[in-house]
Amino acid sequence: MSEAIYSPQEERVINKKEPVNINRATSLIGKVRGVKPQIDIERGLFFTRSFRETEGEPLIVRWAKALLLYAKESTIEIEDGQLIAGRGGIAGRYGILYPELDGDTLGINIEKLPGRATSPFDISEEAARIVKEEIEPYWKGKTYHEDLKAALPEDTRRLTYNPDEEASSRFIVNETSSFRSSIQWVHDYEIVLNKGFKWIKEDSLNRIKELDEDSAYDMMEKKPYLEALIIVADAIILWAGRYADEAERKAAIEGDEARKQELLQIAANCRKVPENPAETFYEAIQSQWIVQMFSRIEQKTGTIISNGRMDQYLYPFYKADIEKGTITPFKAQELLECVWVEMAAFVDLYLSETGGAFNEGYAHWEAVTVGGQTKDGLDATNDLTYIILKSKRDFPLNYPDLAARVHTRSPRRYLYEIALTVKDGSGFPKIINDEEVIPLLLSKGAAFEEAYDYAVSGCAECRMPNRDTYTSPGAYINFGAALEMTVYNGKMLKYGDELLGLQTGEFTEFKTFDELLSAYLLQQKNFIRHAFRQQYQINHLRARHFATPLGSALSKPSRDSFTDLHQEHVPGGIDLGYFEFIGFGTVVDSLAAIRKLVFEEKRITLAELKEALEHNFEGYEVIRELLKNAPSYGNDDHYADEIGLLLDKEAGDFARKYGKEFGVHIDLRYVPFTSHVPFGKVVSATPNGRAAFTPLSDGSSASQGADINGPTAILQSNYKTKNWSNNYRAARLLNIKLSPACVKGDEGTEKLVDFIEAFRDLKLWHVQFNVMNTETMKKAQKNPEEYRDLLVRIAGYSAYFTELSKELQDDLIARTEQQAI
Amino acid sequence: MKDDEHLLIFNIQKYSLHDGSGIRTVIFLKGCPLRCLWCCNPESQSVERELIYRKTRCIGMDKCGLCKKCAPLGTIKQGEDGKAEIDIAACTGDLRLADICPSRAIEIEGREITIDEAIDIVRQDEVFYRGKGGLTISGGEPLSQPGAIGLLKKAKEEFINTAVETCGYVNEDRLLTAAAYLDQIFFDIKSVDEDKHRRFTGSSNALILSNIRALKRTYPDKAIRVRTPVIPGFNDKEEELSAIEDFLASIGINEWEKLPYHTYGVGKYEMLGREYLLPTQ
Repeated sequence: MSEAIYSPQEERVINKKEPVNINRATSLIGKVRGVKPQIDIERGLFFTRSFRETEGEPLIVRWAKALLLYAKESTIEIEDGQLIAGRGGIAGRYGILYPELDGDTLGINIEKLPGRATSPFDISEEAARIVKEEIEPYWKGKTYHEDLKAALPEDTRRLTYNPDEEASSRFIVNETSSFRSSIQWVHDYEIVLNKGFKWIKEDSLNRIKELDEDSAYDMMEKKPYLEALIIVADAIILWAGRYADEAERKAAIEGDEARKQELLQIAANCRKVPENPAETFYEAIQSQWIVQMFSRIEQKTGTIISNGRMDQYLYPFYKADIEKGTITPFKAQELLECVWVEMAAFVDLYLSETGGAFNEGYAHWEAVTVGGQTKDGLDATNDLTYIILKSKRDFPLNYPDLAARVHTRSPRRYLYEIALTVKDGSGFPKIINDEEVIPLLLSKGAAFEEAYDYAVSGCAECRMPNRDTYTSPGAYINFGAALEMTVYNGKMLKYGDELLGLQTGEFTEFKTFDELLSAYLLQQKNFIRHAFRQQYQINHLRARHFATPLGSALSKPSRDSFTDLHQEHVPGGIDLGYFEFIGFGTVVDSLAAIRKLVFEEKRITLAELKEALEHNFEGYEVIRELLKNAPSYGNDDHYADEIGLLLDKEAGDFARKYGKEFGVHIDLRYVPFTSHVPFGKVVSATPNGRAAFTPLSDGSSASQGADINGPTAILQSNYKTKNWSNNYRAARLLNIKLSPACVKGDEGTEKLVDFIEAFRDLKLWHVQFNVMNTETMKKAQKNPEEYRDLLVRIAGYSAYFTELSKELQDDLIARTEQQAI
Repeated sequence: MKDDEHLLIFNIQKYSLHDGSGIRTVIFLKGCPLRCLWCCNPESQSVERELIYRKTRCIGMDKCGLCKKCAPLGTIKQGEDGKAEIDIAACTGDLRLADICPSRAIEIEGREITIDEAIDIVRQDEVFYRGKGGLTISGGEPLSQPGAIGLLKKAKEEFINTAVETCGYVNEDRLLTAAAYLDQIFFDIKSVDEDKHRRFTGSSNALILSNIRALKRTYPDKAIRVRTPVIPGFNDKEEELSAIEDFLASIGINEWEKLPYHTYGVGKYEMLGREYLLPTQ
């Protein structure tokens, strides 16, 4: 073979090449990269103390007061060399506690954390003692997690939790609302930068004056709401002010004159923002970060409140500074990267093993969105768009995640720079398609200017600041398990004799493929049915457990209606929920194989197949080979794709029919996080030749290694398995692994642009790339020390390969690498 | 294929990046008049369907062994690694052996498709062509089959960009007819030395050289790119290559690409039960 062709990232990691652009932030990376995170308990402790004092008060006020106590009492620290202030924990990489979520099992989980296989954390002995003696006892019996468990009907509960004390996940119909208090969304950062918290406070004070004292509703609902906004404004202003104090203190004792001036500048920034409107790029970025960070303190929105369209709301400040000559592109990039380092220092800590398994590699997605269209529907690309893309090529860090919106009038240069960034090989950016997202948002009730202004939030979600108001996390459903229940008549090998699903008939007795397919579809529907029952309870219960005064202050529908964002319905908002189809490729391929081999070619019988599955193909290798070589999803093969289309239709139709009862758009999605790995661990061998307890297929990607017709075919299969006429659908996550040889040179860049444009014209929602040699991952698995810096793309985010579990590493290696022929 | 409604193909490759402009779908037609010693697609040479055995896919005779029950006596034995060792050339008379193998280790090279079927496959990826990419016919010698003309014509009716990779050893009329439906022509010239050409490809180069002249004369503005695989011991000497360069200059062709020698195809000779005759080092 000729010499291997490496991506720029592989060059850096394997050949130890230095990053090209060295600045202040580059020197800060070492403090966060490859460091095992520590737990900082202050957030958990001050919230506990405050909540103990405020029992009986309205929830939103209690939340605001807890934030105020935190702002007053928390340790304030500015890292040496940092240009940006605002952190939620001790030096280095840290995670914080949210005991309102799962404080009842805090003690057990804290003990397990340091040794956990996926995303471990360390905690000091003193901190562990405080958790056990002060924090946990208060929350026992009060957490959301306990309430939800009790509120689920028995049959739903059985599909949701194991019958153990912690109620660990069954990984069948998996609720995700108790390892996070909310799904993430996007704040209205423009109001922060342009009006400041002073305005929010004054506005709330004025509106209190206008309340009707005779109205009980005004006094009992609106007044506490407005008071909470005032408290939270005070809290964040106080918190920023304490950073100003600390910066001044450090400046006073700083020997180095240059650093002293920097500290004084930090102090001046934090005195001014986020209380007042920002006037410079530096102030704007500081203001945004303080708000970002404080919302992490406020609550655990799964995968973090996103950064929104940074190239849009920061651009006016950048442009003004450039015109005044007070900033350079280099300096702007450096400031952004200083924020990236702070984002990476904070780690979204999942205490439960389920949370950890869903978010391997310390996943968090405070996505930055670039490109797309303006509120007026014109192309939105600007100089800052290119600086942020460049930063992703220059700066080897996995946070924040970067999403690039594309549309039919995206400029050529923008598409090229996206392609160049993809070619770097660290997985950025993910590409999100305006041509699919915007029509869907419009069809769900958004106005044009709102739909054009969506920002990517989290993995592949798209949220409209000031319009989206749904915050309940949705169900992740293991349809591999539904398939297994079709084989074992409602049971699963892993769970023995326990009847978990429907009794759809003895597998070996099905006379036609249609009979068997109908049985599967009943199992599928049954899961969705239970997911909807879960969701129904979740919607009700969350409002009693969670409040978000900060988030509400930065949402117009919330302010206008005096309604906390975590309430079931916020007047004036649009509620977009979802449920996830996990294991799509696995199920489609299995059904296609059965149809072909059992009912059409009659090469095997259902009895032989079942026997082979029960034995995990040991001694049945011939059957396994036949199954593996049957038609499969991801090859633009109508035979398999028409089954996929039917499964999608059935699931989507259910959502369309019953979502309405919720008043919520519960959309069908295909976004796995890393759940296809733990889900696979409960599913025995499947009729596509997949071995027992190995990962399911991920997102809308093909089964590992099943896509043999190249990357164009996997896009086509996606296109052809979507029910375009049903708008109860949202994101589909698609991973493509390309060898660096495919994108080599200018010609490679050009053809990657062609590919991205075709993706756009096929109106697929999302695509992301791993441009890497499979060999590199195999080497990293063997010598993790040498490859600590190797970033890989997983499921809407990038993470360090060596921080992933062996199973997920194997899964990434098994994904088909598309070669150039 | 003798008729012009059908094609005998051995592969269709989508997302092809190095066979013309843009993203392309390459249809590989089976059958070639030349027998170049370095040929990296030996399965493309014969005009007959034949068996190929990819040993890496074999799951071993202890677990399977189905092939042994069906193959002619003495053609299959178990290797030390447990996998089947097959005298595949001796089995190729009965193609049904391919249907027996569950892991597709034994497959048939060569299948017949109609021109309409081929166009449907090409059109599947139309969205990726973006006006630049499209259909490339390759082989084998794609123009050996009369159906190639129909395929190209049909592609042009669908406004799909077309390219050919030809060895040039084809009937002149057919070449010139095909060229009318081609946007890009990749034309191989291996050597201008008649004697060497015979020794290394099995055929004279006279037809090839006269064809390129006729092509350039008839279509002076057509995008023609000449390719020369540089083969050690055959045409890698300076004087060999400059002779080709001089020849091309004399007929007014300035798009010339030298392709480095590689041995990626060597494994396939073994899979077909044939011998690779050039040194592999």
